[in-house]
Amino acid sequence: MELAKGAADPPRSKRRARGSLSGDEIVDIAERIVGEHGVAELSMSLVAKELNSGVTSIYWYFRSKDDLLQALADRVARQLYRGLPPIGDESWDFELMEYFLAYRDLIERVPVYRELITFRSELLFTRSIVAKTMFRRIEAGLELLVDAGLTPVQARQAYMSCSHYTSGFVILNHGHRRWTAGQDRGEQGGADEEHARRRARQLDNTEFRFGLNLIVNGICEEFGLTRGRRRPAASRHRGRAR
Amino acid sequence: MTGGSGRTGAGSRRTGRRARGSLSETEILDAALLLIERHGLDALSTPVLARELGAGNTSVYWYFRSKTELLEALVDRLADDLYRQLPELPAETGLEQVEQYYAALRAAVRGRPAFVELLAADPGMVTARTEAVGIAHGRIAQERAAFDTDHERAERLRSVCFNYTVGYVIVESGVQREAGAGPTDWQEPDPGLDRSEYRVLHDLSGPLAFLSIDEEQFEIGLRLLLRGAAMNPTPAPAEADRRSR
Repeated sequence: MELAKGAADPPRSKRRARGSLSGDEIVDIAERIVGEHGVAELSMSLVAKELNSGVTSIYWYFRSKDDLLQALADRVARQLYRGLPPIGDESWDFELMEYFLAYRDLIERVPVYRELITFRSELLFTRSIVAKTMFRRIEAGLELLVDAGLTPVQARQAYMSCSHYTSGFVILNHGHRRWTAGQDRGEQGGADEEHARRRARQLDNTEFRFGLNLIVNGICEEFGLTRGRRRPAASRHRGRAR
Repeated sequence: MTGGSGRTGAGSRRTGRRARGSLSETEILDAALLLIERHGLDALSTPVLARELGAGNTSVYWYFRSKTELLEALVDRLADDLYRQLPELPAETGLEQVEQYYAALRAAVRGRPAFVELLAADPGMVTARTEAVGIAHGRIAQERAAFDTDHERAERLRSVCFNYTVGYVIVESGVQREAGAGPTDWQEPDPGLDRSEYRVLHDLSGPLAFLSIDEEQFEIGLRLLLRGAAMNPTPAPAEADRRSR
């Protein structure tokens, strides 16, 4: 792939030697820009500048900013799903909460995850080339619920309730942080500090857990499950094998 | 997108231009709203807006010194309008009423495409402004009172419901934006997925079945949240057996 690109007509300038650029390197830079400054700040010309190369060279690898973002999202999604711990042997409700707490922790730890999920979540969820990894992860979560006694449809409903709750929560939290950071820089007027603090509290770890726990209790109420019930040995074994 | 005309100064060209002082804040917001709904948030700029209004850039700047200021005013207006549309929520009402209220909130947000777009672009600003508009104050008190519990818990419950609802709309709009963008390579669980490996997903496959981000799923999640909220005190996993990660 690299060879084919090297063979093409190079932009003639006294900048970097041709063929020295790679798609991965471009995505590295994009990852850094998005992580530090946000999706909105990413541009092909900024990437070119950072790489000390011509914009044309960047376009040789990625047709558009969206193309580049998709490549970044694919990389990020792959790391995301790999970074999630497997489901353990505790009761279904404990494991379900751990599953989504771990998901949120991971997103919160890595700025570029937060940024992409907030502003370009569709890139992560809908056309990711890592769909298979994602399905495996979802399957494990669904099996947890089916083994606890739900039908596949109920399992999907329960799982997706937790999943959309988690994504929405992370997005609102990141959005809030971005907004208050902008205010600190004086980009917006009329900051209500008291409100900003209250809002930050409403979006913190304790409140996330509070809401998730409500959903888990709702699952018990709605579908007649009991909290704290251990999973059958056979499914625990399967869970570990993943 | 640029204005194209290159004209600035309000008095630079009087012909064909509207009389001074005939412009109002409401009119500017109306035009901005229309522009966002028709061409998207990115297309909105002062020159474009001025041209749409048949006014000079300066006249628009007179009311709104920046795009940020304009968007904030727009959010205030949309939020006010949105809360007005919501049904009253009686105090200590049943689960069903609360459920209907938040379903109505989602519908009201979604019924305003410009609001959804603003929300997705700047969730922090939009939620902060929304909760700060005058009418929101009474609404929030009502939301709290709907839960038959003490003030602190009621506040936590209403904030979780608000976050769930608004967060859901943002995720939903992202997925739909992508789906509506034309032919895409949507990844569906392949019906041919190995059954031994995907025993649950195998049974669930169908168009978008696995993501199921729609009205029905919204209502299910809301019901689970509210049924959990109705239990007081709320059962929680034993802290003792928490894993340290």
